[in-house]
Amino acid sequence: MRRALAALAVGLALPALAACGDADADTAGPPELSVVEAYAAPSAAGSDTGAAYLEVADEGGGDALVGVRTDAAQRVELHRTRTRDGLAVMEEVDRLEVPGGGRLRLEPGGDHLMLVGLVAPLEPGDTVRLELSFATSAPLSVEAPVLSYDAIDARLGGET
Amino acid sequence: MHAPRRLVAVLVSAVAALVVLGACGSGAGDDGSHEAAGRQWRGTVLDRPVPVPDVTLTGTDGQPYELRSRSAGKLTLLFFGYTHCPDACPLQMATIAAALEGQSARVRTATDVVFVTTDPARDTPERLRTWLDGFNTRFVGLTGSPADLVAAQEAAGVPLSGAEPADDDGAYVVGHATQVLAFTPDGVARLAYPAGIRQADWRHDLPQLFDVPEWQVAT
Repeated sequence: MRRALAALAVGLALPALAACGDADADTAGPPELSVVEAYAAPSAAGSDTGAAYLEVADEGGGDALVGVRTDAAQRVELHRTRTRDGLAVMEEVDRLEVPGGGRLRLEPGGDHLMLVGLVAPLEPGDTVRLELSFATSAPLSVEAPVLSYDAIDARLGGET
Repeated sequence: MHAPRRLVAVLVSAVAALVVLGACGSGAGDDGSHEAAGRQWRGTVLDRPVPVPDVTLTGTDGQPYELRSRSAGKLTLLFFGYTHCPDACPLQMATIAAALEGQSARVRTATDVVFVTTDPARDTPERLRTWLDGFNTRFVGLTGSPADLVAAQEAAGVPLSGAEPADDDGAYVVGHATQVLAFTPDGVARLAYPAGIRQADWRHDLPQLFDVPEWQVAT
């Protein structure tokens, strides 16, 4: 009886899961990743750090971004925003999950890539090549244009 | 005994479904306005109002900066960050700088943007000045002793910056509070603006922050 109830619980949760993914997604299969978009922010005056943002979609069973490399900086850290005591704080993490049939979204003010030790300042019009490593899938390479803050503002979420 | 178990199982499934549903929304997050003083705000309303921290820090000119007296009668947008910060800090400064440009002369001259470093070892006054000038030469940069900077954050009611021990999934906090606190001319903050808020949100709220009569003069 208890097992049946547990199955019922899973059964109720699964349609909800399927509802947010791609209709074609095979969430039981291997990950099928694609980079939906990638862009970077301009670096601030006198700063040798930068930020880049990504959206990675999966039509399979999920994966995780575990590393990023670029020729534009000495190293790239994965940063996550977490709410602590009701206020947002940033933390470095080893991996960022790409949910099966869903999307990993990195965006300004939220989860992001931190480019540490920029080789040169990032200015609007520049392009940064990012090499993305995943837990399961083969690496992906993507060109991220550096956008102005006005252009970034226009992309920020939250219809207001 | 069976009935409660069944109830628990159903509750668990309902919660699981809700969590999953919540996780796949548009990503817009908190997109509603918030009410305070009979008005709608794009900023979030603090659980309890915060008075301007009673601290004296050091400006980028090397002179003492008494935050409470300098902010009297002004709108003070207070942010704690550091110039090596890649995301929230430049985003907040760039967004406010852009939003201020279109404001009335009154709003522009009566608004102080105050950036307090949480990284005094690397953020020298000169470096702070260079970094802030990239956004707006009127923005105020402050530093101080580690103890004074902690006191300022505590008085502002924000989470303390700085690395903390790794938690059980190996993550550690590298950061700092990412929201801007808006202290109205009466010296009280009732609203906060998270990183990722848009220029349009500031344009909406900035004039209003001067429009609530009871927020203009200390009582």
